[in-house]
Amino acid sequence: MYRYNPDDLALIRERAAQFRAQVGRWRSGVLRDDEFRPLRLQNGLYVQRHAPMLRVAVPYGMISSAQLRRLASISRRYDRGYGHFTTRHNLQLNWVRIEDVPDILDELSEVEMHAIQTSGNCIRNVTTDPLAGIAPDEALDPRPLAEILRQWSTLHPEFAFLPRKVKIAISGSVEDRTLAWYHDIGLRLDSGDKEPPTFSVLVGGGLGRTPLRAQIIRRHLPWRHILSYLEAIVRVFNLHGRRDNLYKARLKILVQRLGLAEFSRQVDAEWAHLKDGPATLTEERYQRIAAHFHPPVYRTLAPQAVQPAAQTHPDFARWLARSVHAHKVPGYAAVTLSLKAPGQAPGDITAAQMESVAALADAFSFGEARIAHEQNLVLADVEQGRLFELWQAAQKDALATPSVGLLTDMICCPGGDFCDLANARSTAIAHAIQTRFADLDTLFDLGEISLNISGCVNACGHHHVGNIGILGVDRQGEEFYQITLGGRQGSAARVGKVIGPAVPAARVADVVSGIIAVYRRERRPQESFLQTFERIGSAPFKPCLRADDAKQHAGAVA
Amino acid sequence: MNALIRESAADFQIVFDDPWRIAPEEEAARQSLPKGAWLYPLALWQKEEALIRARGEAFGLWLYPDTPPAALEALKARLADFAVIALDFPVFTDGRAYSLARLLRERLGYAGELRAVGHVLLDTLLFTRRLGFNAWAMSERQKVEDALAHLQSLRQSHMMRHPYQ
Ligand code: SF4
Repeated sequence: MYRYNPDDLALIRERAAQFRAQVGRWRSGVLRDDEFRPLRLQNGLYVQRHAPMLRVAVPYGMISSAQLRRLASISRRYDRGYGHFTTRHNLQLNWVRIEDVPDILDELSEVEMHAIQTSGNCIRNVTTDPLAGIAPDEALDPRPLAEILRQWSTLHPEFAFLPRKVKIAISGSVEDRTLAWYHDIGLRLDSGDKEPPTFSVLVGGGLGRTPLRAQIIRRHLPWRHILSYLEAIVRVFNLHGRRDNLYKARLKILVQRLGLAEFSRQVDAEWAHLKDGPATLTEERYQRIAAHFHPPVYRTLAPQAVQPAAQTHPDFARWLARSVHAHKVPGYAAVTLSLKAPGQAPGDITAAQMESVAALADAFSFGEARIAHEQNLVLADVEQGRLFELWQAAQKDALATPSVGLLTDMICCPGGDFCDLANARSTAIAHAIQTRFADLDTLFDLGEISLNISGCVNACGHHHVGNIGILGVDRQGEEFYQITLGGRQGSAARVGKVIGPAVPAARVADVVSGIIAVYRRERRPQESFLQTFERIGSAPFKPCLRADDAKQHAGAVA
Repeated sequence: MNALIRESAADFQIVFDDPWRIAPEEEAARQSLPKGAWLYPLALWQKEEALIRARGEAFGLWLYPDTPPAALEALKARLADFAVIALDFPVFTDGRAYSLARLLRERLGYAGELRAVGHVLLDTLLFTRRLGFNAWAMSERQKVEDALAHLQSLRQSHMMRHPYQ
């Protein structure tokens, strides 16, 4: 992974010192609250329901064992011994004290980490594929460009105070695992072994209050022009995005208002000046960064089609089926370490688990791990011959829950337990569903289903793109939940449809049971939930929302 | 008005008696505009360029953040005539002037004084300095001595790194 050079290190140290001074000026009254707020947000510091929350960046999801260990010790020392992984490669510490944050930032800088631009109206942490560099369907490792984007966007002077945040995702594979269609800007490698590589640029996507799928603003953009083209987009946004209404300020709203053709015309007019200018990437620069991402020294191994231990250990067989992914290199596999153990809020990780992941990464995967969009961790380079050993070790700290991709591998925001904006306690709903669907035979029988929960319209749990989406809404002070069906991630990503009126919190698990019962009744052999939904539409699912129907499923163990 | 900080060849200086003021937009006030150093809002300049030039004194331009870039491009050939171009920050989180500054410096080749005015905090000196601003009328509540020291410390700062490096 990318290692900081002395200049990079000096930069984040100075940034930490600058933040320390800002906290000092705020405490002494020189900075007003309304002045300090945007400044602290640009450094990932929120003031939440119970305590301040610090969002630490894990750029494009790459994390080393040393970093994990330091996060563990930070969470013990300054927090309550755990953290929460978000869908965008960040780790949130939920119980920090503002006065400790400068020290936390100093500690982070010692392991080349920071909280720069993890919030605020600026270019956010760039995200990519957790299987970058190893996925068989990948044509170009997106990480060197992701790192170049990180460097470019970090403290970019022109784009420090945009109308609203800008989220960028970059993907280099056939299947999109970055949710590029629902980012402000998505970069997807064009298919075919083109030399030099080119990208399709997607613009104006986003979830939240107004979910919009991105549109393709340009195809075949040569990689050298990525920065200049992005500058043109962000400049048009900076100058023309709305600043008078928070809810209409995102790039997607500007693209919608101008229409793609006009937006694109304005971007091209800017780009005409920027193209081939100093932002143009050089081969030399690319190679310098790419050298950090050269593959580790793999051993020459024979691919292992079967795992003998799976015959005698059915639990291991299940874990293999769900947690292990194909790898470019023969004899190797990528492994998801699940953070969805029963009783654990999705994405939450204890300090002990962080240390275990670090130990597993050291023992099995060249000392590195990745954060996946689905709030799990991934060990990218595991020898197939050692999977059984890894499974045994991962079980000890509840990192081997065999439900990856199944119903209980939910994406869920922290919701009302922490977040100020929440209408609802999303994690309690997650827990109720987890308890309801604890039986592995049932889960495996149901097959792949994604279930996403957000505590409010901001959609941090990406409920729109879950096959089953659950959104917390407020009905006269009561927690209600709106259910959508048919959303999906990936290359064909799209948002689901609301199937009817919102239901009270106490009924949500029953409604999900009802939806699952309809699927089981209606499905054809081998048909996934999504395929069944596509075939029969939402009508058969609507009755599940009714109180009398839900009652039938009350307490049912599905 | 707070004192001004201006970059000069080797360093930054505090200027206590900076004469530049924004020209009044009301017609009546302008009829009797005394001799002085006036910053003309763009709309006014566009309307009264000839009159302003006829006054025979140095003049500056005042830009609000909603200035259309095309209006600046139209001025390209005459930008060098302005002794000062002031970019207004009604609140420090309004980043539009950042793009305008970059256009003025990079695309339109303006080489004169580029001044940040309004809600100018210590915390935005880094960005404005990198964008080619070379004068700052600091926000009232900001001690100019601190701002000066901050600008000087930025000379060595790694946070000044160019985004394309
Ligand atoms: S979706 Fe809403 S409740 Fe959940 S974390 Fe985001 S803002 Fe908070």
